[in-house]
Amino acid sequence: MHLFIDPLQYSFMQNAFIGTVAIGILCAVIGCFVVLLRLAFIGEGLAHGSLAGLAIGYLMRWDLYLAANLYTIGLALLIGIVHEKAKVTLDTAIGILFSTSMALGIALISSMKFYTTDLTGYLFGSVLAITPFDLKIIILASLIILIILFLFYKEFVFYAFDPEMAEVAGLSRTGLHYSMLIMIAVTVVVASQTVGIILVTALLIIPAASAQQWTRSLKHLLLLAILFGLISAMMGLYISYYFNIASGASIALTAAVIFFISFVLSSHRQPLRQSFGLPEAKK
Amino acid sequence: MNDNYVIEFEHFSLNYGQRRVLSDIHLRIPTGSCIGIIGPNGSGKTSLIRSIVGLNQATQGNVHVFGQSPRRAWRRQRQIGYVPQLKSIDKEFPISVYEVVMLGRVGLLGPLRSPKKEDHRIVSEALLRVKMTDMADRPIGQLSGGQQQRVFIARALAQQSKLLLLDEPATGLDIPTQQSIYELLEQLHEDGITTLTTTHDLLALDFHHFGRILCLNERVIAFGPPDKVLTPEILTKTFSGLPWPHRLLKDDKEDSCSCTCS
Repeated sequence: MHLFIDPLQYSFMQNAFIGTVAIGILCAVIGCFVVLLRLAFIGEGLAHGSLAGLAIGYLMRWDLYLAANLYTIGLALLIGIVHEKAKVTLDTAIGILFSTSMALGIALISSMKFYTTDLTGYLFGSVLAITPFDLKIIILASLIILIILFLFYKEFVFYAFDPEMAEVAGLSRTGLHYSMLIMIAVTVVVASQTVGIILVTALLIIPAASAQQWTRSLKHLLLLAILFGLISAMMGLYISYYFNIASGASIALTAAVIFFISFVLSSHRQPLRQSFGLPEAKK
Repeated sequence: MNDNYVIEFEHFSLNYGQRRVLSDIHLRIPTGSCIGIIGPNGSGKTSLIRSIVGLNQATQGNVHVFGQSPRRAWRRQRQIGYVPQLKSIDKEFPISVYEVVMLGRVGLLGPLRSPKKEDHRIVSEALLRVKMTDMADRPIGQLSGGQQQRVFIARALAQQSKLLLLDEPATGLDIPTQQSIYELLEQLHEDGITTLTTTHDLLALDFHHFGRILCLNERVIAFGPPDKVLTPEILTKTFSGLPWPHRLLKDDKEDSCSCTCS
């Protein structure tokens, strides 16, 4: 027990703990929609593409969070517009724009005279460096996104399941699509402080995919994804603290372990479940 | 608005890019009628249906549903139920049969409102009508194509629409499922609901259930009661000279005649 409580006497660890919990929940919930909408690649693309936003923010001496958020929202909208207007698939639009944006980011960073620790924190995740200000932004963004998803839950579910019929039913397909892209953009930027932009997809996709191994009820999927997201984020945080490794890597690896355990124990592996004394899986 | 007609096409034409798919459709669908739309693949049946729900915009002319543009008719009255062609769904999508049917109520509920007792009653009734009550808790991905089709019909019924559009509802389904869909159409007709049902598969369609047949091949070839429309000349013209089953002709169908709707 001391292993869990002792580190929390440090204020930086308290910030990290609260931030990680918020990000674990946010990523898990948004991740469920990302997985159901088959938007995993856009999560990856936006995360990597946000590098240019960070670099611009750093060069201009703006707040990194704000710069990256605004830039990534713009990138998400641009991906949506290019997909719609340029007659290319969404995957192709993401491929074009995220690589362009990442190239811009690398170009800007390589032009800097010194390698900045702030930026490496965003690249690989630096959960222990979360400031009280970062924490406020993380909590505010998480609350806003979770409230939007809660209020428009049935609309987003309809859109995810059958976009065309959602449109016929009078819902704004474009509005739902772009608001989902914006929420994914904000989530990846907010989460990049913890897991880093390279590994943010792990926290976005893996808890939802792990939950998918256990249930075919959307409400259970969301709850399980939150549980797995929290376990991944918190265990990753402690592993990062005790073994002094990048938090992004420890969180992503913990999430991956949960996925493989879920995969092996889920209903696809019925005999194994029985040998562990688990009840028969309902699909 | 003329209450006698639920849908009015006025010299309606539709292009996809440079390609014309519907030409000069001038047609009025009487309220409460049971219409079968036939024509070969690519004859514009689905495009016609999609125009009625507002997913296709007219290149020329216009279409009125309940006396208004399709989008406005939908937004104001939400009276159009639409069952698109059965397509492959995401089998892993975590949603139950009951939840899918409840989606039919989402547009009516509006944002920020959750389903009430009345919505649950309507959903249960819709499931009962398509004989899917026992499957209500099953994930939709586990169902066969025919069962999924019935669920999507229930979703349209849950809207309590006065107009129901079914695009190829019987294609690819076994005979008992097809039969149950046609029986349902008859019940809906008795309830005063206008239905439009398309098919390219003439063998799958029992024309005796329909009050009127619309023969479509880019243009309206014929529109009227089955006895008048199902003639060798009209069928040959509709199917561009391709072979069509002779059982469709009046003389061959009398012994299998069942209930008709007008």
